[in-house]
Amino acid sequence: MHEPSLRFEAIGTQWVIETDNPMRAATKDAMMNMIEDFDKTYSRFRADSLVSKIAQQAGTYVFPDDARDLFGLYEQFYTLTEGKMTPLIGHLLEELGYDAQYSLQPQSTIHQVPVLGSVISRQGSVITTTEPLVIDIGAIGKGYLIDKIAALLDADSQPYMIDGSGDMRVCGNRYERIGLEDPRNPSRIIGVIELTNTSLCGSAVQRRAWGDGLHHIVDPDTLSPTTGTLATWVTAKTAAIADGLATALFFTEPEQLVDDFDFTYVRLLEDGTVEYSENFTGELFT
Amino acid sequence: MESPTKPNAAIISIVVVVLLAVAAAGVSVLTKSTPDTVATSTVTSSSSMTVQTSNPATSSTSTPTMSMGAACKDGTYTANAPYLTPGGRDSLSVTLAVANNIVTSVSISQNPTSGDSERYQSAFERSYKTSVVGKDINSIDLSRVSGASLTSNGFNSALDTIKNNARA
Repeated sequence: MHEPSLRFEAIGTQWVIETDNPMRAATKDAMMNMIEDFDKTYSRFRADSLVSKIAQQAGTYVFPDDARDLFGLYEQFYTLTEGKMTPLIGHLLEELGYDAQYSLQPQSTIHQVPVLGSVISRQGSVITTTEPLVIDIGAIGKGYLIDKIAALLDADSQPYMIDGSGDMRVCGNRYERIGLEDPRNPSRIIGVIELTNTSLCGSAVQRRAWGDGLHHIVDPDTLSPTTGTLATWVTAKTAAIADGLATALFFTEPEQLVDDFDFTYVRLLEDGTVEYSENFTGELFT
Repeated sequence: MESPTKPNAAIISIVVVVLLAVAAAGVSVLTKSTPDTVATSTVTSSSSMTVQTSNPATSSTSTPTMSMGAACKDGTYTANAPYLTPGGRDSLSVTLAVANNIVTSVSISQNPTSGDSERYQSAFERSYKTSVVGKDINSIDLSRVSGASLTSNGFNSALDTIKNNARA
């Protein structure tokens, strides 16, 4: 059955949105404008963004109103991961090579990541910094954007499937069978999850990788990329929460997260074992 | 490998969310029941819902497909939903009572054990561990794949550049 689908590139990856009926032109325009505004606020890969200005100079900066939700969620994850998940991770990523020019070359000197609260404070959606800081919201940002797109599509009252390259949200009478990609070999999957009316986010280290042990999920305590975990998948009510948890599971144990969020998860380790929650609603190939 | 002995809370919550969404959106898929009869619908993997009534007054069966916009009639609705657990297929039965377009109660009966109607709200208590193998992606029926996000052309070019430089 052919579904109307919209395909585009945004925030550095490929998107597909399927709806039962073609998206209304007004909805599509609103969505594209909203995505551009999001990119222009949060992308450290463009010189004209708000976060690029914050990387140049200390000061007080006004984010869009809903930034309070995004930063609020970050603060929650910061506490739950004991500081390992932080929006101030940007400069470490740059120094390891994942900079705006994609130099992909690690610097010889790597600097400590500032402690949240020591150099940055927030009042609602207003951020004040005491020194130049590189904000990177990649740990939660894609999920957060998926939720914003979902809110626009909800207003159209039709079922949809939003796929931001492996991070997804489905609503309405849609049923999806999602393969869990084997990060060791992308022509293989390690399991299947069935998705209806929920969000799924997957994180893995093998694509955004540029050298020996160099990938995009980095630990501010070790000043290097994480080891041990190859991939995580989480389902939760919102994509922002699923995205945040999928990242958090590279840094901490599910027991640290279960009191704050309702979710299911699968975590694939380097030795080929998976851990999964008892409420995981899918199939793993053993 | 260990299998959970109870049906997964999250699939129950998924089914409930689907049914609540159906009720909230006013979809007239499930039929109203009188106190003496209960309409049954089956959630199938093709996402269409069929309804059979056993109302002796009308003595007819109807099979509406999902439509949006019709008001959800007061009454009691039951759906059976199959789901997968690591231990295999299972199913559960969810009953909703709807009054004035609002779901007033939900109860869930889980097969084979009888259910706990609050279970769908609770978080997991245990995790399990197992070894996994990869299966050829073409051997499995899928609608899409989740893993590491695809990278942009800019990143891919940069990666090619440093790989070429490393070889030089």
